[in-house]
Amino acid sequence: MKYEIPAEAEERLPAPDTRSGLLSRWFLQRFPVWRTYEHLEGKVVPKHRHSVWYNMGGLALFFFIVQVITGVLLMVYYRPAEPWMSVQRIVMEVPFGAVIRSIHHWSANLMTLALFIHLFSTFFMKAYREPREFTWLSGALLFAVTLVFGFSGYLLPWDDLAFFATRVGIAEVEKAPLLGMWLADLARGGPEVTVDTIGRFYTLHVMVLPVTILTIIGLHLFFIQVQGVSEPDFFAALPPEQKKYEKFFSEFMFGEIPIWLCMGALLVAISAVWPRGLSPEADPFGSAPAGIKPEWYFLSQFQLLKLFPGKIEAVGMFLWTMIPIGILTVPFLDRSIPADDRGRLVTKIGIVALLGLLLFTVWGGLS
Amino acid sequence: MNYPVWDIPFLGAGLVVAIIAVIHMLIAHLAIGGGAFLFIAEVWSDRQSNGDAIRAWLRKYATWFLVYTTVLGAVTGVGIWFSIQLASPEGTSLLIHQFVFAWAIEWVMFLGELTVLYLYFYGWQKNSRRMQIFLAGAYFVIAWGSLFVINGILTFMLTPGAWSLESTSIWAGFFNPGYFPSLLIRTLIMFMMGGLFGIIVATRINGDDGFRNRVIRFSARWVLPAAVIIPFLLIWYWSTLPQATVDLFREGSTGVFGGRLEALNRYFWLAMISGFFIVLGALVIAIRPKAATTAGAIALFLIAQFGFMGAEFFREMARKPYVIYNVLYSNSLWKHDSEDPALMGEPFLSRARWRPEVEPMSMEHGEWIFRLQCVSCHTWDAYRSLGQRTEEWTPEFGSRWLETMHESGVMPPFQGTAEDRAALSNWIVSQHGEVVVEPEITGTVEGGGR
Amino acid sequence: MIPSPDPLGFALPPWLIQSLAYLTLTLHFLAMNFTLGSVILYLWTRFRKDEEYRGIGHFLGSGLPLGVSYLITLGIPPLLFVQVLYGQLFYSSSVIMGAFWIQVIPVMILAYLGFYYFKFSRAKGERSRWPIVAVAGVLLLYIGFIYVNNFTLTMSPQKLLRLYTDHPGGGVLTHGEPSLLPRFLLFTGGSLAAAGLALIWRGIYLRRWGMEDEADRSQRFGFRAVLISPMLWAIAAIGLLLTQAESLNAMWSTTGATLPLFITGLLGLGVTIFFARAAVGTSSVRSPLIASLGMVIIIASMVIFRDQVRMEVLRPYFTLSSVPVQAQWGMFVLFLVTLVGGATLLGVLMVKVFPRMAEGARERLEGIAESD
Repeated sequence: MKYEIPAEAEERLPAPDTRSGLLSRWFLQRFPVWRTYEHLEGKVVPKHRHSVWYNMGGLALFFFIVQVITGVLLMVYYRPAEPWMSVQRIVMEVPFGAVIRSIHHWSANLMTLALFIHLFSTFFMKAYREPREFTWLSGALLFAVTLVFGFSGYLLPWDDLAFFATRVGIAEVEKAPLLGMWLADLARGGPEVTVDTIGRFYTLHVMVLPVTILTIIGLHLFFIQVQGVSEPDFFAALPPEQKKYEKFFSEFMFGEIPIWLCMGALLVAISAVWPRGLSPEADPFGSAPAGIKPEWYFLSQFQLLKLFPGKIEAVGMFLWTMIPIGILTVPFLDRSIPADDRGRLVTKIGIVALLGLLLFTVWGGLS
Repeated sequence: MNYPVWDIPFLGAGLVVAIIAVIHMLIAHLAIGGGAFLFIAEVWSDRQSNGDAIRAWLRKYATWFLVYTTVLGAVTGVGIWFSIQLASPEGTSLLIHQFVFAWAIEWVMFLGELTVLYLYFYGWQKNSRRMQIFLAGAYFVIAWGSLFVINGILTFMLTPGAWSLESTSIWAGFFNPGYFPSLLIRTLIMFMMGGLFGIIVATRINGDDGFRNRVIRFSARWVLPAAVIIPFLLIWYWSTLPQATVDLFREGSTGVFGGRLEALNRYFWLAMISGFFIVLGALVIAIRPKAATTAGAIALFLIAQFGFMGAEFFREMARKPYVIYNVLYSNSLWKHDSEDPALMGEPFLSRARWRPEVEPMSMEHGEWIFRLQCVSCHTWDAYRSLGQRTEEWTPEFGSRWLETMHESGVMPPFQGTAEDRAALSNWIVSQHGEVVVEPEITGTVEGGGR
Repeated sequence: MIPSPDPLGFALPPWLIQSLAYLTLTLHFLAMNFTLGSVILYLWTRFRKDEEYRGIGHFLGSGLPLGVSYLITLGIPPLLFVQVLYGQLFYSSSVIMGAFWIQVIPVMILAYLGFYYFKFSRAKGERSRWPIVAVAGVLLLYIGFIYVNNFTLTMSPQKLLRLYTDHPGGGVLTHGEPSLLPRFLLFTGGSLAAAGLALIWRGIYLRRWGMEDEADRSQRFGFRAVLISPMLWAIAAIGLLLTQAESLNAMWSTTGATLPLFITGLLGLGVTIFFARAAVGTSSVRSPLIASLGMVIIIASMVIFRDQVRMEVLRPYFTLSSVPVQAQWGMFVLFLVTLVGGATLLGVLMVKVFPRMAEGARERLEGIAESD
């Protein structure tokens, strides 16, 4: 039995004797989604001088799609049993292997960067306030998963750089109170980073995390579709006739395409100029190469922890734990629309956090 | 070794040229295609009912165009000249002396281009419509004339064709095998750039959506000729490339180390993918002009910048290891000198003019060979890093490698004796922090230059 | 110890290339002097804060982007011809000061953009941003300083090797050449005269449009500016005599060009001052035209003088006659045809468009007068 086409749909569909009219009716008789369609059609994006920040989430999504495609291609040749050899084969022999790997590397970095910007722009536009607390929280979770993605992916080539950076990274986890030791052992599969660690990281990177992230991305996007895009205070305060909107479907999305294409070209360009290199195979008994440093997105924590050596390490730990705690609790602390004194204070704290993050990252990069 | 070598750390002279050139090339193409765009749009505006609105938009176009091309375009153009003097004085000297009047004619075009553009711009709404259209057209013709001239010199470097140092035939060098395909490709790219710039300015139109959409579509259409015709022209262009370059390209993607994809191949693909993306983006904008934003239009323009980067780097690398193909190596060694075993076997520093007095086989000996033979292309630790390429070297391996490096087809032959090779190799290995025992002095380096 | 000249030799007999270089370098210096002088006089009108000088300031400020544009464009051919004649020295000295030489490009872009920004922001009615003009003017002077350094360095071949081996990165700017500052002053000294002459010309047109007061102001002010340049030149000349007496002496005995050039320059100066004075208060183009020609003669004699000194200094190392000539007469004729054709076209177009543009300028000027 076919579904019935709602009357309001009949009014708007193309005439039944045209090809598009036939096709749309055929579809609606099998999938009764007219309501959903109407809802999505009504979704709008505010247009104002800060509109450009609305593109950041989409950009992160774009880089994620690139990650999926290049990641699947890399998986075809990567073998966790012979990690370094297989990556070397990808780089040396597989047609376009080095480029795919470079793009995967750079896209991961740009995805993280886009997420940083997305996080801070939604933060400063105060999009986390009700009713969007869970959109914010799911976003924060996505950010955390992305960082774990980065950390786990970094080890997989099993070269010098990857090995020692991972060893240093996990050693930091060890220092965490209570669960630290246990977590570190769990990640490593023992007290040392070995080929067993590869197995864990690989499974995490290509199976556990993708399923997790896809689920959360689905939720995150679903929330946004249902709730619509939040309006910053200055925009919400405008009289209705001065508010300008853009339809999300077709207009906003089509408007994003050139930007996505540009980012695609940027990826190819960076990969052409700085192809990702492969250091010699990891030698657990060798000496660490000089100046081993974590990836840039972990640099600020790394640098902060360096400030508190030895016994006062816990202070550093505490300080940087404040950042995730702050991100998780902010929707429940700062609720007033439009922003009140507390809201403005939160913004100031956010500015300090952002500046601190930049400062420590640059400092870490230079030192 | 007639000239000193500019040893600019981190960047390297070649990258200085490349950075300036990539910026300039995009603007230069826009400067010419924009002329055609102004001309056609002027004519178009006369046939439309809302001609004034179109001209108001053109005025904005012309203003940005004027500042962008006459400031950044003109000065970076001079900048290429400045940078090639520093990066390759010998090659620049040859181009200047051989083509001095081509350069001079190019300058006449340039002077005319500027003056006509100023007359067009500053005579806005004062000049008659006929004069204004004539000026726009004249601007395009003169500007295209400047391409006609400079294209001869540009393509000469990669495909000198029948030109030789003995014949010094200007016409053979100027209308060389690569001249016409390059001229046509660049002409089409120009139209595309004029259109992309038009889209950016059109997205700034406020209010009347119908008008905005029409202007955006008008501008987006300018991408079409390039999209349709360039693929065929590329086949022609490809057929004029030196065989060694084509081989290098093939090796670069299918050889033993094919997966690595040589830089030549990577930049080729960057150009191709960028071109494809521009066409795709312009198509989306033409279909949905309402959705076009300034950010999106600028994004397309930036893709073009990446495309220029790919194409120009490809063109430069296709010449490797020459600065003028088969005539002059990138480190200012003449091809005919490289074929003279007696000259090539002389102690290198005795032929080098630009060096201090150094102890034979000392570290300075190696360092100055590095500076005079390698630095025109390589930096130690950054662009085309010599440090990275020699991480695994031992002094013996290095010496042997230097002896045969030209057989790879991408390096010039080493100039000097076995001792010179050893000195360079020792210096390189010592730079990696390894202690090299200085071998016994077995010869002397003659003092003084020529 | 200098590099050998390019094996391709000269494309024309050297005297012809030299003539082309003299001609275009003179034009370049005129445009450069006009731009620099406009900057200085514009700033001066700003500091006077006198409403009377507003029109003059506006005129000078508006011309800056065009001035820069032509000073760059007219600088290309002399740089081309000097590379043909003295390439082996010029390239060497450029590399030796490479880190500075390449700065010409970004610095020029900044200055040029600054002038445009100034012009357009003022056209929009925003507050006039004179500090931008001041900074851009300093940048132009810096570029001039780099140029003077490079060209004096080409005249010191004995220093080149040592400077290079000490600074392979091209980090040499000044190199202890005593004639540096006098030369710098000699070629920037004409700035006020060039801009002053432009103001005298402006007065001619204002008078024809019936704006007698503004015309008087413009011409008087212009003439006073013209009078300052000779003082700067005198200082520069004394400086040159003190620092380059040797080569001047040598020139005296070999080519004997010193005195004739000096006298020509003085004559040009006399003509300029006399006719610039005569132009004040008139609306005929005769006097300003002759005064401008006088200015061309002054600059041209300096340009030739400069090249003669260079040949003299280089004589122990290199003479132009030692380089073979492989004449490209056909190409030369092609160049001349293009040049004459292009100049004719531009001339015709200018004659047609200028009156219209002047009309626009007049309307704007009346607009300013009304807003007062």
